[in-house]
Amino acid sequence: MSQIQVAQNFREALQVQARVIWALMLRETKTMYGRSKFGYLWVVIQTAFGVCVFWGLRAVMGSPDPYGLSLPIFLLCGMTGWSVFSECIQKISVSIDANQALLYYSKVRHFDIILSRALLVGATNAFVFILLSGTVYLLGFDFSVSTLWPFILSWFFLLIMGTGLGALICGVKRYFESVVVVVSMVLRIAFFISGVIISYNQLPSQLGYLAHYNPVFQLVEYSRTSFSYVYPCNFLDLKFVSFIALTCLFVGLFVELMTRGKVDVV
Amino acid sequence: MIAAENLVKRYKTTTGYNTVLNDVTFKIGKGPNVGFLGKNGAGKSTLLRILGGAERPTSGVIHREGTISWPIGFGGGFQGSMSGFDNLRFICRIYGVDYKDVVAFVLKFSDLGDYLYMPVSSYSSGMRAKLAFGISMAINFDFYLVDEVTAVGDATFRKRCQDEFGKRSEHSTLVIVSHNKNTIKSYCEKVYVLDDGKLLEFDDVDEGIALYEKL
Repeated sequence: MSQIQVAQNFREALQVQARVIWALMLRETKTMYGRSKFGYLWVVIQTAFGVCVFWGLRAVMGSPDPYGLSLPIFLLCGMTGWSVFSECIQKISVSIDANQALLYYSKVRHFDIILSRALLVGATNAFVFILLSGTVYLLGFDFSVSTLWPFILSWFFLLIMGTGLGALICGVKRYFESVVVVVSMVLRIAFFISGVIISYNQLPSQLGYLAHYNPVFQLVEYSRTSFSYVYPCNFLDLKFVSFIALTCLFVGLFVELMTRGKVDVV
Repeated sequence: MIAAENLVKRYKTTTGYNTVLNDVTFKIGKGPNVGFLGKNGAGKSTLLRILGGAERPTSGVIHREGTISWPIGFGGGFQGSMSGFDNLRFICRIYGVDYKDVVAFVLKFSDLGDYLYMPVSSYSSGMRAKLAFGISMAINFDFYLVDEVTAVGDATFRKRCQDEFGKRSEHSTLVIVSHNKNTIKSYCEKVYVLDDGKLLEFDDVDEGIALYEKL
């Protein structure tokens, strides 16, 4: 007979929660990527494919390279940063529905499910970024690291903003099922106006507001400054971005919490 | 100890609200096994889910002290694409128990053999039930929540389950919901009868069964 470890104090309670989140992350990894032999590889291939496609498109259109940054790194920052944001929204918005049966296990709570998905999205994209940026470096492209803080900070805010919006949609979906379809459409459009494939400096001046009022655009651009000493990001308003990200997180988690009664789960 | 105070549970239906628990208060201490009898649809399983923390009451409070199992035999949390072993490890991780002990127990208890390492989606319903039962029984809880589970599996497996329930009764409390009076009579020393949202308490099991039969 196996004895359950029961937390006796706050520190042990945190350890239990960390263990539950780790277990959920491992389970999600197996569920999402473990179905096929090359499951994990597909994640890398998808991003690499995206980089190559937009690299080719820019070449065909004759777009100049971004200032102070090699094009593959520019696109890689854009693709992975966008993935962190959009995948958090998409995966977290359906996370509770997909894992409702796990709530029968008293150790698993809603917040654990949400947090584990967010962390898995972050970890997966970090893995993809490291692998592909290493490949870019080995292929002889210009790749340098000025300071990692902008990159870390950008991803942190993208992660919490995506998590908040994902939780918000999860809550709204309990009343309006079709919200997921709307979100999917909005994300497709948002991809093209979030600095993923075009930099702020390459935007026509009359479209500058797309970047000023779009925190994702600002964060994606900010993350690029980690890999260049000269890449410009003067339009960044960190206070605005952090305010939006934190507001999304708190509002999203609050809405998810307050709408649980609709689906009759704790 | 599991204590329920003024529990109310209402479901919205097309014709209005269906109240399955109507201001119910009770306390289950460590010790005698407790049974809940009621007709189909009386709200027994709902009550069990509320006690386990998987469902929220419309109003009222539940106080829990000690470790409480998920409904015994519950396999709804299994991920079909993962093997029985992987699902087992997941449960061990979240409850912080050594998976090697649980694997040894499950292999002996369920007779799954090499099937344990195959995807759960390839299992028959009986095999799923055996895996679910095995994992539930391998972990030590203060309270075991049991929902009509003695009816699954073949005769040998049912006998094995009964033996395990007997062993668990020595140091844990079984909370059993059933509409089968024989199940309640076999395991319980105290019984509640759930009828029309109200709960009637009986320290004498036969008395409770007699009332249940009149419903």
